[in-house]
Amino acid sequence: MREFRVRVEAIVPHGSDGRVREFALAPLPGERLPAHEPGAHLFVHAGPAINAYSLLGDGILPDRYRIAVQRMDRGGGSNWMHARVVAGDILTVAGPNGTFSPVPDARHALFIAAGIGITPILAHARAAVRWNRPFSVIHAHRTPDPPLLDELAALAGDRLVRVRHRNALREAVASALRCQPVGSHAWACGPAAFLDWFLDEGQRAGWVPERLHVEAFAAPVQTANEPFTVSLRSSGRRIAVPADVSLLDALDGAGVRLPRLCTRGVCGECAVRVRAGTPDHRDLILGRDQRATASVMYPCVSRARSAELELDL
Amino acid sequence: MPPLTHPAAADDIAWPPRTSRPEWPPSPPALPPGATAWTLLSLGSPSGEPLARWRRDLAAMTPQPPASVVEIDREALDGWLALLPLWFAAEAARNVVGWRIAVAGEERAVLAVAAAARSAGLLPTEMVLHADVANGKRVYCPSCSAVTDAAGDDRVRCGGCGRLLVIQPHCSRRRGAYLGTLVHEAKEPGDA
Repeated sequence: MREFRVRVEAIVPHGSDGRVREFALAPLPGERLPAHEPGAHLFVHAGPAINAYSLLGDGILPDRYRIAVQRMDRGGGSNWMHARVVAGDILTVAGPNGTFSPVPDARHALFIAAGIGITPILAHARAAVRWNRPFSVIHAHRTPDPPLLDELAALAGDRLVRVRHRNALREAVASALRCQPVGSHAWACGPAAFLDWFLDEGQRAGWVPERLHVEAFAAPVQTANEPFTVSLRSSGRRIAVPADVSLLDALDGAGVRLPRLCTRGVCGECAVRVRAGTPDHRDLILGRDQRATASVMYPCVSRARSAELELDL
Repeated sequence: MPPLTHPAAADDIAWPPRTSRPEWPPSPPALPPGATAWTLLSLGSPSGEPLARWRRDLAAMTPQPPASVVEIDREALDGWLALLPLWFAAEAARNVVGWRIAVAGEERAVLAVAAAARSAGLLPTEMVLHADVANGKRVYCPSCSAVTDAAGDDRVRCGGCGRLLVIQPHCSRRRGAYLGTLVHEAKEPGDA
């Protein structure tokens, strides 16, 4: 993934609680910003972390990138973005990429945004308006003045359904999933627990996995780990991965350095092919339906279900 | 980077190479669970066995999804196929996502329905297809774009432009038809 630098052109606070700030990022003089698909995210070197932020534009000949950063108050990259970055600063970014892409021949698009999950949905709605593709949007929010909702409402008009709170969202989505025209696809962005529910509910409503698209707005929460062993196909060398060390770090320790960027299962840079054994996929790149058959794994977050994995290294 | 999936790694291509010619197993596949509604089509199937099997599959599901059944016998098939695109669009319009189709019978009819379904927005994973008799092929003419029913497997004269076409072992899922290529018919020496 190409890294490049951008200049922070403007910072706009959203909402009354100040938790979300929008950053407008401009190319350096003489440079151009890469185009991207609607729903793509940009990796931003944000102090202690490299965070992925959805781009608000539809990606056609972008003269600016817009991202909206919600402060998480966990001392991570989003806090750094709020506390340290001022207009005129130069940021290092990479991408854009992502798998939350439109399906051009979808007969209808159902977009679902929970909270700050509005960011990639805004890009999708913008593209749907530009290309005159039929769509509808369900947006859920808790605060009275949710970020970017005015902009989404202006694009979507009466195609927007606004709901408050979790149960109302689930009710609205459950009923929408049961009345979409044949050939529809659905895209949802929100907290991981909501997305899990959305995939299950879609399946209950008879949707095949290919029609359901999700983008989580936070890296997955890592669960308890077990130690395991990997062997390298080229040399037969075996490397132990302790419970509290990622596979990527264990490989580093053994002198096997893979490319990387986010180290949180989002960017896909550290992909490695698995030759034997069963990986425990914990990334956000592989869809739930792809995990059983995927021949690659992302060692920054993923581990092993079998005691040993053979890697194509 | 797009995820790679196995089993067929890109460098492990089976020999002989696959063609796009469909292959049908001897017995119809089972209907998968998960759909909210089915349309079952039996189109000139000589035995009717696929439809019977699929009805048993549905009866064994809980809850049992609603199904509508379309049975067209061999004599009526050509007329039905002529109206298929319109019929299918109407059928798709009165259904919603969650609907699946299962189609059995003559290969040309199964492929034609699959093409109409694809055009209506269904994905391959939302169709169960099973041809239990060949009975000719639909052949696409690359010269005039007409699709002609061929009785045999070898050659057909295009119903659109009259050219003689060789039927190739290449089947377009989108058109539901095999590719025809032009035969350069024997000419007298000295003809231009």
